Amino acid sequence: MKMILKKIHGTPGLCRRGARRGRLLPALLAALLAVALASGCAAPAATAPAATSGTAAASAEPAATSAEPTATSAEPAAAPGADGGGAPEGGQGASEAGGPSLPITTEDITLTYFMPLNPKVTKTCKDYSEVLYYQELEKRTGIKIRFIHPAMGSESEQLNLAISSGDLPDLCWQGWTGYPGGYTKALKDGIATDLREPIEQWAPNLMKTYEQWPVVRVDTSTDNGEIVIFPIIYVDMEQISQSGFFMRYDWLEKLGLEPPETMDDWHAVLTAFKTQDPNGNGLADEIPFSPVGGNNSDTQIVKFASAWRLDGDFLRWGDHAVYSPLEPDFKIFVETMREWYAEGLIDPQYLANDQKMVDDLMGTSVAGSAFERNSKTSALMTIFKTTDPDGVVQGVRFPVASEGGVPANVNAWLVPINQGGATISRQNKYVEESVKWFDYLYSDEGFYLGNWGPEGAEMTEIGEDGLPRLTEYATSNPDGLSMDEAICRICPGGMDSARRYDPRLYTQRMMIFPQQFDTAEIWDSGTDFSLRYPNVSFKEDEVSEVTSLLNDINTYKREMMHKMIMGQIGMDQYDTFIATMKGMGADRLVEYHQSALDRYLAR
Amino acid sequence: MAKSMVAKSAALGGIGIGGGAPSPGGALAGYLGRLGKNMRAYYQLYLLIIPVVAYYLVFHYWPMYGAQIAFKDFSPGEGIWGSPWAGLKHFRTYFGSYYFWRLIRNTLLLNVYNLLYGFPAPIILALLINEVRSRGYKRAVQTITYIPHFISLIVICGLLKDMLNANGLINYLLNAAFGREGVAYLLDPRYFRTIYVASGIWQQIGWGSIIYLAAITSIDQELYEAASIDGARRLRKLIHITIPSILPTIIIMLIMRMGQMMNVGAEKVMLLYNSATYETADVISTFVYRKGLLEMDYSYSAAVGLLNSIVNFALVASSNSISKRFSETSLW
Repeated sequence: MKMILKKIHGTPGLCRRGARRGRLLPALLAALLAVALASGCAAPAATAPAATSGTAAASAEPAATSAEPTATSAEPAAAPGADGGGAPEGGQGASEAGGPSLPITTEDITLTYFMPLNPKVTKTCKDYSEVLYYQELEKRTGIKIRFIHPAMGSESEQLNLAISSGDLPDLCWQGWTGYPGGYTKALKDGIATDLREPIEQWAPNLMKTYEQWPVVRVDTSTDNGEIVIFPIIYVDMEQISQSGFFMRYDWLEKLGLEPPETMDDWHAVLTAFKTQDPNGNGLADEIPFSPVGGNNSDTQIVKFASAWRLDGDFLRWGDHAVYSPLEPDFKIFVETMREWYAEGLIDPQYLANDQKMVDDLMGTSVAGSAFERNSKTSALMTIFKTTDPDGVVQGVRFPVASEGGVPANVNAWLVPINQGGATISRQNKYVEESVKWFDYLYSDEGFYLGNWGPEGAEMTEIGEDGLPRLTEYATSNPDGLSMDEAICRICPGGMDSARRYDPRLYTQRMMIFPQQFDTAEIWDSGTDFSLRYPNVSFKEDEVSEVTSLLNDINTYKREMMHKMIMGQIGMDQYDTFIATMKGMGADRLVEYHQSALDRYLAR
Repeated sequence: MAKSMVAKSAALGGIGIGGGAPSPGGALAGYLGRLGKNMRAYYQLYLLIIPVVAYYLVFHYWPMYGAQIAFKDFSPGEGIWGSPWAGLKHFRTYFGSYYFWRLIRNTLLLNVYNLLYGFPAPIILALLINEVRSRGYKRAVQTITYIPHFISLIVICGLLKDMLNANGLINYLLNAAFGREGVAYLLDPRYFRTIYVASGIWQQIGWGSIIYLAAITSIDQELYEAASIDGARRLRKLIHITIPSILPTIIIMLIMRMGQMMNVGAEKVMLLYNSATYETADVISTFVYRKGLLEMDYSYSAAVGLLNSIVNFALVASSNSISKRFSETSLW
């Protein structure tokens, strides 16, 4: 398979390059010059030295793009089939089936698409254009996509650099909640454009989706009704919580304990983990709870705040926008964590923990509980087969402060729109084609293609019930790939892309061990999801103030919160903490958010 | 950094033209006339200097055009010219900000400690190496002390994180020797400066000593012989010959170092700090990075950076003139 992909993709390029060496040199020189100039320009805006090379990489792209069409158009005969200029079988079939008329264009159009490369793909492909799905799309639509993959871990920096240097990609995928200033700022920065008219005009499939599920439109628009993104849609999911607390059930059983529900239960269970040596190695090396930390983040420790219907950040209590740290209960949360930390119930280095460290601690039977995605259940159960055959992990309910409380998941991911989505930038010259390209992804054909791959792909078969299901290629891959790695080589089934997610795929992908079904059930049943903060948008003249207020206050909050939890400063500082946040403008921030929430609810 | 480079480039530029035009002063036209004549006569030399001048123009002067966003409300969508002027708004915000004093304090303190401990370390190493008589031992010491310089910073910081971990090597040793409880050193703001400065010395001591060793080699051996005849021992020779002979080098290095007083490389701090240690670890460059690249507050971060460069420039200029007055050694 890999070989075939390489062949399709690699050979024509090679031929072309060989024949066109004469023109390549000037193009390269031009690109070099562009890089030199661009990196020069960007230097004062960014003192961090790493930034310069980042800009260079980002701005090298357009130079390369402009060089490419000349190369292809000058010699169209060099690679007829593979380059997809003259729409082969797939395209015609589709137009007969009643979708949009395919191919979308017969012109030679190449769009640049800024999209973080999912780590699940890196084992098999270096670039999304090697993924069968995108090759098939190119064949069907006639539009070539050239991907710009930012370096892993610095996605937002690289996007910000591209934006500030003015070299925007045509299309851009982002988790837009993390984008400072949200949709409003994205429109202002030019990385997004208002898609309302283009979509109404050219995107019948997406319009149909809006009619069927109006929330999709509401959540992808600003208050003014400008549509900003092509989202990934989870409308009819059977599971809602993608992540939650989970725990070593075999340890619980060994110590004769029940899965905890209240915070007091949690305390008892974690203390037992700490003192009664459940991993049986004779050492008191257990870390009862090990959250993922990370620089400048609230860390997963704030997930415990959901017991008091709080979080580290903004959330929604009915019609009210609530900034959690300002609520009186937040103090109880911090005090509780402080006690637990002092008793050694929480990983002493939680702030420095990254995902891999937590995985290791869980996998080696040192950590007893964590906050994870459900998919981690299967990963761990697979590891336990060799390391600890008795090991069982399974979800536990979101904690409640006292008996009879309602567990709350304050940031469920599998909600209709979780703000991952693609925008069309201001510099995109082919808005019509781009909109049609995205619209195709929401058609019935696009839906199947995006979730199950092209017809005849080896990951999918049609079962007796006439429904698609995963084959052994995916469930027990002959090359030793994990299921997601195997799927992602063929289609974005397991990763982000603009489409409607097929819940059947999620179930088949995620639910391998019986514990996973139980986990999903435990996390979802009786859980309150109403606290999740919607994607509000701000007015253009207030957006920069809101962003900088939020950033400053959040940075301060994290610092103080962690210091109090780790016992570096006393709880007597708590009043100063609140006063300082208010001094920094926390009340004003809440007002801005309240009116933004009001506008959202009025949509 | 940018400013000190600019200062250097100005010095170089001066040499480029001043070397050709002999007499300063006089009317501008006269100067230009002479310059033109000079250029025609020695055009090969002027051709040779073009790449250097171009380098500074393109990479150090042209970017200053963008520094104007410090006085604007820059929005990438509107471009540098199109964005509205904001006056000194961002500077005022910075001065009034909660973080202002902390950033200044951290940046200065990290540098002061670095200067106090980090600056003399390579000099002392060079002097010690110079006194070693066994060639093999000398080479071995030099190689071992150079090695950390060639290890990528990210690897160094990875090593530090592992070693300073609560279950890491250092805690293990302390526990074995004194029975001390494990401490997560990188999570405690009290230890950050020590870790930063000490690891910096370890990294750079060997590499930094090269320049002093070179200076020592160029000392006239007759001085030592004369001193021996006068009955001077090693320590005397060290104090009265070696150190005074390399003093000009030390002073030049010190002046250049002064220009960095308000600068701390962002990378290393960024790789080692976390929310819990911001109190001692957050410095101007990391703040600028977070503001500009993560939070996209370009104008504000440009204002902070610009202010920092101005202070750096002032520091270089004043340390240079002080040195000129007292020791006749100066950069320009």
